[in-house]
Amino acid sequence: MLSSLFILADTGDIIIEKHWRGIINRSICEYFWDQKISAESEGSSVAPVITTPKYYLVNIKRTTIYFLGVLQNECSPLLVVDFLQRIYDVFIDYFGQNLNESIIRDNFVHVYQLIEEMADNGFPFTTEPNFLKEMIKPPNVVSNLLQGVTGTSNISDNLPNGSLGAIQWRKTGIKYTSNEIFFDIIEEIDCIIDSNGFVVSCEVNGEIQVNCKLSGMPDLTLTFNNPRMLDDVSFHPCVRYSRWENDRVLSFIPPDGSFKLMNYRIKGINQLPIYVKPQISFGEGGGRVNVLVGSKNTNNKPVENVFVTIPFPKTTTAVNLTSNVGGHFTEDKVCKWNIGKIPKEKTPMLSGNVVLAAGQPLPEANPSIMVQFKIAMFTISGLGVDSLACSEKYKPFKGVRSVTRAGKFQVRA
Amino acid sequence: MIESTDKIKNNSNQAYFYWYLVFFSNKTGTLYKQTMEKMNTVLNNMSNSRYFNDTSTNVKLTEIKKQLDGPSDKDKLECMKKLIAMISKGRDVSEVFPQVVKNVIAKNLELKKLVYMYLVHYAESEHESALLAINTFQKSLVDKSQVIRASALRVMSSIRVVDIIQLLNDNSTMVLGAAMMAFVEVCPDRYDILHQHYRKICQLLADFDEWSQTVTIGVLTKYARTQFKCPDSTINDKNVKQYKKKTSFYSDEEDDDSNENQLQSPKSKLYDSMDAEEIDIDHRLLLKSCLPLLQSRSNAVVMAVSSLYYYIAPVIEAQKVGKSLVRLLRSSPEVQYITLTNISTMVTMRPNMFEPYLSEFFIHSTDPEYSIKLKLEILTRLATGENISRILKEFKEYVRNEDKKFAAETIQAIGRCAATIPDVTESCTYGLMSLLSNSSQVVVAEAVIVLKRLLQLNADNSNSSIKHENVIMHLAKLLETLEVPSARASIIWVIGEYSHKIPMVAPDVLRKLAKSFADEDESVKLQILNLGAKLHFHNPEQTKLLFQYIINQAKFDMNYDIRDSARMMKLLLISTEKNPSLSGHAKSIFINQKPFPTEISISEDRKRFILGSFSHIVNHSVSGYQPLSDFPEVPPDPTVRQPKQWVPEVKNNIFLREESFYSDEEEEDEDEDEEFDGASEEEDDDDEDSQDELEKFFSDSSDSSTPKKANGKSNKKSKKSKKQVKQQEDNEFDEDMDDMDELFGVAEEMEKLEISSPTTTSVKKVLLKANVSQGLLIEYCFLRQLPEGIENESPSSVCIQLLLKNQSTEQTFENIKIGNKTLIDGADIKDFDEIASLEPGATTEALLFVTFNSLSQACKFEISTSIGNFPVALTPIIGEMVSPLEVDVEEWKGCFNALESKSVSDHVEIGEKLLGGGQQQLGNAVLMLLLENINLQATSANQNKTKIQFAAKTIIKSADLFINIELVESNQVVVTIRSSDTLTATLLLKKQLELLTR
Repeated sequence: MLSSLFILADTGDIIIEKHWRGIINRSICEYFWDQKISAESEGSSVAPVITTPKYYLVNIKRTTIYFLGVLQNECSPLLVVDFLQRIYDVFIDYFGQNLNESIIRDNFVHVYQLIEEMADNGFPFTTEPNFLKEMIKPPNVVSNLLQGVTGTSNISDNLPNGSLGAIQWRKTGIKYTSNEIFFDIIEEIDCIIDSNGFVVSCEVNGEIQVNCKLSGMPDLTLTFNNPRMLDDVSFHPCVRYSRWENDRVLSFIPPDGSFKLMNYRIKGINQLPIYVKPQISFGEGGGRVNVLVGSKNTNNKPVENVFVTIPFPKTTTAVNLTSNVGGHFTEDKVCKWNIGKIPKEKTPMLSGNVVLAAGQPLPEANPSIMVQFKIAMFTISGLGVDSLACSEKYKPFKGVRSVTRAGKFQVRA
Repeated sequence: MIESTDKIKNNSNQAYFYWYLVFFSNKTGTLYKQTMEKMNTVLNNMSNSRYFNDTSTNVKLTEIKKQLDGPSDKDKLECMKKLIAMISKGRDVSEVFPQVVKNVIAKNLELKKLVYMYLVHYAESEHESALLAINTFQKSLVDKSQVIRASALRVMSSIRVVDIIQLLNDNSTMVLGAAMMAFVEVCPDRYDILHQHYRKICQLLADFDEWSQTVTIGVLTKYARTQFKCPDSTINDKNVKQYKKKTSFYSDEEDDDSNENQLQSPKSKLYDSMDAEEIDIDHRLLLKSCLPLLQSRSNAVVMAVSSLYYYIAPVIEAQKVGKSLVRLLRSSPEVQYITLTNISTMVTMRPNMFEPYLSEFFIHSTDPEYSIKLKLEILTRLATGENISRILKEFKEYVRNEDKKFAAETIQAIGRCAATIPDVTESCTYGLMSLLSNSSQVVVAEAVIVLKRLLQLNADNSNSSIKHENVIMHLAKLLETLEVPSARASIIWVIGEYSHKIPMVAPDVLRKLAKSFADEDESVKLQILNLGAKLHFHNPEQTKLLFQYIINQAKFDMNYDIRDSARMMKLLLISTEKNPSLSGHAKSIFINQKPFPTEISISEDRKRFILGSFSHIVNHSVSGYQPLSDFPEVPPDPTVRQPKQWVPEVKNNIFLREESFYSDEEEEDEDEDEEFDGASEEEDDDDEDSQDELEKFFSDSSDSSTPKKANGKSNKKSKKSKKQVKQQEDNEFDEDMDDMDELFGVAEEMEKLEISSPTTTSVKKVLLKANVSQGLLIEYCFLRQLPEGIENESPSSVCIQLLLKNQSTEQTFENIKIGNKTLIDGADIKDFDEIASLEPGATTEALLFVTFNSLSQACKFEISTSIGNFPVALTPIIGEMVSPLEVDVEEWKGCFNALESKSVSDHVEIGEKLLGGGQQQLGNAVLMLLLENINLQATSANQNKTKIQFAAKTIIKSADLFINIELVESNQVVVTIRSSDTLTATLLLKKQLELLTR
């Protein structure tokens, strides 16, 4: 397993180093920087696995931070990547969404304590956020001050007394005055549409995020309106797999707080909620551009946050476009068109022309347009929650929200 | 002072600074104000990074040593934090090792953690001193909290102490997972240790945490390859395809199939029909218990299961993993890269696993470069006659991409498709030729190279649809414009090789090249020389002079390779008279059959490493990598994994190693003996030690109330014969009792009691849930007294009452009876009479006589009804595995003393619930509690009920069993159980302790 862990900033600084099996000189990171710089100079990104004469480096990049695991012996590479990802997730959980260099520095002690608790001799150990929070309290201004003044520690003396083992994701004796549980069904559409408007590949990836504030040890049973259409699923460990296999219901004792209940994939969806009709043609000295965007099949739900990205060829020298809806700007030969909400009365259109450098060969291919959008209270698959049964005596307040958005939504012009 | 505060502040050593301030502000009032100001700034700056910024020069190790020896936990904690901070900054602080080791016994959890952390860091270099701490770790290994057990185990494995593998006996999944990790770390090839735990591990696998799951599955994959026979020996990888036709992927039949219970029916319909070959029951168990993990949220687990299925499942079943692996592609780019690498190797062997997911491998414009290469390779591997048009259509799109490197990769992929699928060779060739007019030199060059390869592959194929002449002519024209040397060289080579097909053009090409020779790249020059030599044979009239001209130019080239070649050619071809013997063979030197170009992709090369391993990704053997062995021709003895009575909680596993405990059970339970032999195999050498340990345990527990000194004495003497020790122990025990009597003032009379269990049944438990069976609820309880008119025929069986209730609204259950039974040896179930029908809402009862013949193994059987068969399991409850025995007080004493050697005992603090009733009521409360939960007969008690005696008979072995309970002090209780059936006694002891501490 892991010999060492380095947390690096994009600027080239080493923020944190942690060694489990003897100290490895931090010069090992040089191999990583070399690879990173040479990869970036070619316009690609650094490979996740780097071989050095003695060690192997596995890195993941999240926001502006690199997590670099150093290992020497055989072990599952995905285990390492998963573990680095989990460390990141826990940091997010403790320190908030926008993790950056200075946040890590500020919470230096917490970071070390967390890493120490999460790995033992380089093996992942306690990684359940609920469990960790029992032992290490998340930082806040008051506790930081108190700690500084009185010297008390933020590690609790007691071991988590929750039922360990089979359900280590939930502690006992949780109490809320109002018992609520919220489900967020989030679906993302990944698709490639060719220049004739045909769908080359399309799949819907969904996930269900749960925010659970329930007292006691509730045993929940969730049924879907149409579970058979889920093509492939993966679950949080709390979900009882056999119940799903037999009855297609989700039976689980939820962790406390926010967690991801499941992921699913749906194939065979051909009705896209948005259409994009690009007409881009290049001729001698320049090209004409005309892009139309509109919504369809959305059950009258508004399509919001529409954002179109058009990367023009490298030989482009000037871009001159106008749009009837939303604003647009061109930066580094990439045009970004922020439509916002698609209006009912008119169809958003972006048109104009571009100037190409003289003497250069004409671009062969038209650019691939990336589209982002969001439709609230709508699932493209039609998936919904039918009912939720709770084993506890109280009647929890239940809320279900759904949203459909673009994943990798690519339109070839 | 202010000066010094400033200095310290500059060092940003805020922690020290703070204490410094506090110290002085108490003493020097004059500086108070200034100090306060400083303090404010400090408080503002006080962030948690203070240890991080600590300049280590300020910390003196001697001071730390002193504080570590001191009494204050807080100081120690501070010291340890500093030490750890220093370690992580690279400073060597190993000199305080002895002081730190001492603190390993600390109660404070945080301190303990930090000490563990420090120890692990220096364990390797300070091996000797680290051994000092081992005792503590060993104590932690039997700690009540599984967290401590697991973490101590991890520390020990990092100090490399091998004999902790016995912890595999533990039933907590947390500990078991840690034990598996330790196994991998310490002795990854000792599969013999695993045999006995194999089934347990398989069954509990789903409850492990994700990390241990990954590691465990890896071990089990290797284990399975050494223990089972190949699941489809008749099927090898090559003819998988024909099998594929038989069952379509994910057809509906499979869904029906999944309804059946996971573990209880090892044979599934699908596989019965599919392969006649039998799969070992354990082999099947492994496959079954891993399958649900494909739905894990952890990528590593999914990968591990896929690898397991790929290697040990029948090929047709291994297909299932494709879908889950494809799911991983959605995760982060890093995961995508590793998954794609693995898929690309799987695809070279079994392309049909991923055929249904072709479009998942289409390239998005945002994919990183490393993924693009792999995706292209996978796409070419997946290409078949049916889907090639889709793939080529995509490729056409990619070739036009602005990233020319990507386009070049695609061209290679097109070439590979063209070479493997004859149907499209022609269209690919023309496609590639159209690319020759591309504006990008890179693209054209790549196309030429691929075309050259295609031409060579099809040169001898007379049926080939490609018109070589056309292609070559086209290429020849390109020489006018193309500048990339490698492509030019390729074209010239092609013209030379096939010059006989274009006899008119070739000499002309040579003429033009002769003109430009001096300006060409080296590789091109060499090819021009080759072309000249070849033409020299085919068409000497037209080219002889040209060739001489070229050779003359080459003779004065800067590059020695070219000069060399020119000289050699001159001797062989032109000045032939000097070397007649050689020049006679000149033709066979220059014009001969060239071998076909073969291409081994890196993905194919990677297949020598286990999928999902690190070695596989880096394509060389990483240290610690163990290759997968082939399935054995003849599988080793499968009985090593035979069911055994694993004791549900083996905290006192020290008992189990003692052979004499099982000596009188030998005839009945041979398996069991085997098990414990197996488990203690490695300890055989130090058998004596383990006995010592055992005796220590005995003396520890049975005379817990005697002073420690006596304890120590008995330990010292334990090297003497065992008997002696036992005797001594007895004496001590008697003394012990006397002591007690004295304590209560008088030697007490034991009064006869005749109370048997106040309840006639045990607690109700659910056998079959209504939501599983579509409405039929079955509860059960153990009957202590049989209803009148019914007799229990066999003394070794227990009577169980089933309460059946139909909870559905319209369903009527008919013909309810017992279906298939899966029982261990010697176990039996006497069926109840068939229940004709059960209306909605109706209830009924049935009696079941069950012989468990085991204290832990459940009886598994099916409840068969008109609606369907439902698998259920009856688990023995230890409290019901005894029956009351009537003896009088004297007899009790006699028997109790006679069984001295078969005694187990322990003492505990009584739980709050029992103490609640006050001291007077305590005796009665204990009495009632035990009788309620355990089917005992209370024989006698003293007046205050501080000493209670029970008698019972064990059901399985019909051995007499005597229990003595004594209340010591206000809340301590000593429980002693004596019986020749020691297993039951041990478990009962455990149960009682549990009850009493509640």
